[in-house]
Amino acid sequence: MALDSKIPGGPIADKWDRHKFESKLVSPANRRKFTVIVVGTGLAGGAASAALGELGYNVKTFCIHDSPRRAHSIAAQGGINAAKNYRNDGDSVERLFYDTVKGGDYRAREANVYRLAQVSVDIIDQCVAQGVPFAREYGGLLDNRSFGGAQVSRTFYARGQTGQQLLIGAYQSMMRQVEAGTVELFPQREMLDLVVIDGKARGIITRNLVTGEIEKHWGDAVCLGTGGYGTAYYLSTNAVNSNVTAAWRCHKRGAYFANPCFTQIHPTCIPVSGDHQSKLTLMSESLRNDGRVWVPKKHADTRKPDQIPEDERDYYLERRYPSFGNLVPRDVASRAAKAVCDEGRGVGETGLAVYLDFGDSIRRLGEDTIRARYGNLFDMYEKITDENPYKMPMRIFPAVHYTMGGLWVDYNLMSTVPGLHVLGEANFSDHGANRLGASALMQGLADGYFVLPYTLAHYLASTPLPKVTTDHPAFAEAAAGTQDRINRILAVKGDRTPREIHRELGKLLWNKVGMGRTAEGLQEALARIPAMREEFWARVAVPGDANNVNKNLEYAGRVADYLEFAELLARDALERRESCGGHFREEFQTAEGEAQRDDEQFMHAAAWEFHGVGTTPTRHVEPLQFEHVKPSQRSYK
Amino acid sequence: MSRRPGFLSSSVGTKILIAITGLLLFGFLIGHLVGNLQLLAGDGGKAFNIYAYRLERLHYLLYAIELGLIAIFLLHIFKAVSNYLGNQHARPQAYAVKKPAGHTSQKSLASTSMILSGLTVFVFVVLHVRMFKYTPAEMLPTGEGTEMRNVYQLVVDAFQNPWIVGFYVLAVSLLGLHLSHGLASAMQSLGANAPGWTTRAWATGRVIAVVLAAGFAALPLYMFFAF
Amino acid sequence: MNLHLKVWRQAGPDTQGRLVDYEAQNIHTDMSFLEMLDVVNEDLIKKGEDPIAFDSDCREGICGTCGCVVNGVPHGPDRGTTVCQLHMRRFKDGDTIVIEPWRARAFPILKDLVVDRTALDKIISAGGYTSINVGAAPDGNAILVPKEASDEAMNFAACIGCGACVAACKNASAALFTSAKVSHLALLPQGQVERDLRVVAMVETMDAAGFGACSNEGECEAVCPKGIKIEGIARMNREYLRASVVPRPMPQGAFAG
Ligand SMILES: Cc1cc2nc3c(=O)[nH]c(=O)nc-3n(C[C@H](O)[C@H](O)[C@H](O)COP(=O)(O)OP(=O)(O)OC[C@H]3O[C@@H](n4cnc5c(N)ncnc54)[C@H](O)[C@@H]3O)c2cc1C
Ligand code: FES
Repeated sequence: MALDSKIPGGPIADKWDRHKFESKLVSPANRRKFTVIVVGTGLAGGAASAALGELGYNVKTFCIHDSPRRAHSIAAQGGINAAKNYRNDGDSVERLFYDTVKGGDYRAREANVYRLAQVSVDIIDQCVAQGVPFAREYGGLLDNRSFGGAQVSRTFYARGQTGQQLLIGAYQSMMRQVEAGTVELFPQREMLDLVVIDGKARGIITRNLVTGEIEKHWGDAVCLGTGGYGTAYYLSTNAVNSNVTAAWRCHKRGAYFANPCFTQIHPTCIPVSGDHQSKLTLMSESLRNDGRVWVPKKHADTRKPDQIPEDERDYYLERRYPSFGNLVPRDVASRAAKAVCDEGRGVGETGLAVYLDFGDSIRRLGEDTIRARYGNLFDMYEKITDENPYKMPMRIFPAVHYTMGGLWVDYNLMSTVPGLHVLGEANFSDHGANRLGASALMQGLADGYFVLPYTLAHYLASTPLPKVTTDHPAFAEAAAGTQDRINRILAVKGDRTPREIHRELGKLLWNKVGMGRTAEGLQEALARIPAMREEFWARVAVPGDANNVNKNLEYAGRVADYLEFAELLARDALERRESCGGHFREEFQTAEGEAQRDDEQFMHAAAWEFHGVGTTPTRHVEPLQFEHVKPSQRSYK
Repeated sequence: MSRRPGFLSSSVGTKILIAITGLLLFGFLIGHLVGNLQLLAGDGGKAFNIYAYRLERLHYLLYAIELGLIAIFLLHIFKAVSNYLGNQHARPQAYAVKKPAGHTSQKSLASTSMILSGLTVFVFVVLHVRMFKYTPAEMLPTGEGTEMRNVYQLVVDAFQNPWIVGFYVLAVSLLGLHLSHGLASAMQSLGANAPGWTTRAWATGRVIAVVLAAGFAALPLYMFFAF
Repeated sequence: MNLHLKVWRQAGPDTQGRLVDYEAQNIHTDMSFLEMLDVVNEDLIKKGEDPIAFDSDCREGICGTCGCVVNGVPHGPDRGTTVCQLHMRRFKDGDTIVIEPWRARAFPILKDLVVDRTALDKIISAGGYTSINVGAAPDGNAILVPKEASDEAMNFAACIGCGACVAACKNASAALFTSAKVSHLALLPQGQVERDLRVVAMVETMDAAGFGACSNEGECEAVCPKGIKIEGIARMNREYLRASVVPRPMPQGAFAG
């Protein structure tokens, strides 16, 4: 199947407006006749449920948590971008568009990014009206800060809890619709399959995580906002229940998976302390505004940081990137940290860490100012590491954080399975090969509040959707398949825990498909993953039954999917023989060690078609055109 | 006056009602204490007896006040007890181990024994009223051609009995305990608390409670030791 | 270090539970409390026994998924900390730790340490929002909000809905949770229009869900991982009183049901 991105014609600035005008509408009286399934209640799914409910559709919303308010979006700290130009510092829709395309290393679709920048301004208005307590100035206006090295201050924030506040805003709006009866909520449900009838997405199969029941739900369209797949690496900044399961099962039902190798490694996380560790904690990017990153010049220097004199420290980011210094984009900062640790200059017990030093800023601004800016982050650091960052530099190390790849969608956010729409981090669309800080929240809410309500209406109004019920054989088939998979997991009764296997997979991916990738390493990963998968199905241990709360069973199912998905991740990385954004192939770098893109051959999105576990998938390409932002070598020197 | 007639039946409304009745009773206690301090006037009970006589002369007004007080008292008790029973319902299975959280918590002996201290005070009040209001007393001339009860003597006599004194001191101590949580709690229930004021409100409530209890306890002790 | 655990095990909502003894061995001081439980569970799984069911997700103290009563205190001994952020260096070798689920009529136990907190969602759906449809919002800076009001609103909006306040309260009251949302919205201009309807509807829903009344002890504030203050409860009471007695028309709105 050829990929049709359905980008509307006309000048880029008018595409979205024109598209909205040309889209078909569903009249208010007809909306309640349509049932829309929304999976996920993060910013994307929560916003979509609220918006669709307000319009009057009959919405059924699912999440794995006990409350929709707990979706992983809640953990976002730093902020959300919007081209409001409240600061009069030269920001505009064009500039946000330009920064996002460039930041994504020219691997995102221009039209999508432009639309994202356009609706960004409406998001802030919407959230303020919901009562999101964004930070304010003394005059009562909204405050902004510069984030992740942006040269304008366009980031809106609510203390260090922006994601929480935005999510609660979306959640509250959605709960209002629950009360109004337009949204029916199904918490504690894990989507385990997509039901496709006559080539269209018409329902899902879920497992009730409390009773274990396998349930069938029908709808006229399915919207997936199930988040990213960062936990494939076992250790990441993602919540421990984040998973690829929903997206992966859709992939198995025909939705192409695009650019899985575009994963983002965040440079400022608390380093790993031991094998027991279950997740990594992000230290907000904003810390780099006032902290200086360094390692000792000497190899394997075991002195305490305060005993290392100034001239024996290597402020390597400031040295290598004089103009951006400590504020280079995430991928660049992460790779630089890896490079110095690979040289043997890493610090801490494991040698896998670099210093983030606030000494200078504390001397310059005073401890109180630093406390006011980062107090909660410093407290969190101290809680976890038992070290006082006001006295000792923080130790940080990169960690898997975000996944730019995801299910392929067209301009309408529809996947290659008609009717299956994909929103938020679960899709591949707007960030190319690297996401800028504070842009994921923007995208999730843009998709949910402002894009999907239009594009979904067009789909519903223009597609014949004969009535189906859950009695259709396709539902029985999918439910039986799901049940069978669960039975098979329970039947193994082996001796290895899902966590052990997951940890092993994570280590492999981190080492071979992590910050620096080589053809050789990727081949090795591709050889080892099927073996791990076999081991899982021969040796996994899942005690207990399927008919009540069984967290280990849920987990095992997710690990099983990761073991299939990981192969695609490695394969995509192998096939993309260039370095761009978060995807760094060591064979392809400039003389200075920077990522070397190959626009000639790889200026495209790669979308994979599934043919069966263990069978080589087909790689389709969607060529990308850059008419407005001319591709250039990213330079932060 | 209310635009939601049933508002006092919700959990918040109940607490508001308990707070209002509690504060009214507190107001009565202050008046009562001020009046009783005349026992210490050192005039052989004259001032106190006249004070008691004047109150009685209010006749119907006094009955009305008394009825009002009884109603407020009973309402306070009824609401508090039913609230207490309802609250027991909210946690059917107790913790195997439960500890006070400390930190900013205002949990105290007082807060955990409100029902007990309250009910003890109730029993005390019944006995107290019987002892002084409905016990026959010697009649004295008022000097205006009428007679009044020598309540003062009743009090002096009663407080020669160490058991009675002990019971009184115990009861007013419990009353103090009750108020040491109740006063600040009532303000909180009525919404009269602002950021930064909680600790101060609780401290003030406790001081007032101690002063009041000490005032009431001083009377029997004084009578016991002075005569 | 090694620890003795006494963990509440309960197979399902309708079965009888009990405290069961476990030994947690070779526990690293850098582990979080939940990572310690992970270790215990890994052992149980290997022995073919049903692992201890407990809930968690973000493991960094923001999602509100985790929660259990550790030695009699919800979320354990550290102030302003969820149990996922509690670290084992807080304990000593040989300690006995009793671990129980949140206990409240409104939070039925689903299994072991996992409880159903849907009642909190019901309270929000009764009125914890502003009735604003997507697309209808005025510019974000059209209404000025004093910084103090916004900061104070944020203090209350920080609630993570974990339910520790209910677990700590001797009456299993949800007053702190409800008041946090009432206060958050009452402090902002955007929340003014519906403030009367909101507080009444939320209080009534809270009562109907089977939570007890507030006894103003403040145990909730002391265990709240986000340090939500009981002044919020005072504000809720004030809002409620105002909504009930100040004469103004009381329309039958979306909240009324
Ligand atoms: C620590 C951290 C900090 C971040 N900080 C920022 C920041 O400052 N700015 C920024 O812009 N971005 C930030 N991000 C990224 C951003 O938070 C996420 O990309 C974004 O919130 C994803 O939202 P989402 O709605 O797509 O998915 P999620 O919020 O992950 O929601 C997924 C939903 O799907 C449900 N779900 C998952 N699987 C299933 C299934 N199988 N069946 C049913 N339901 C399922 C879940 O219950 C959940 O409701 C941060 C991310 C992390 C990890
Ligand atoms: S797991 Fe999210 S708060 Fe503890």
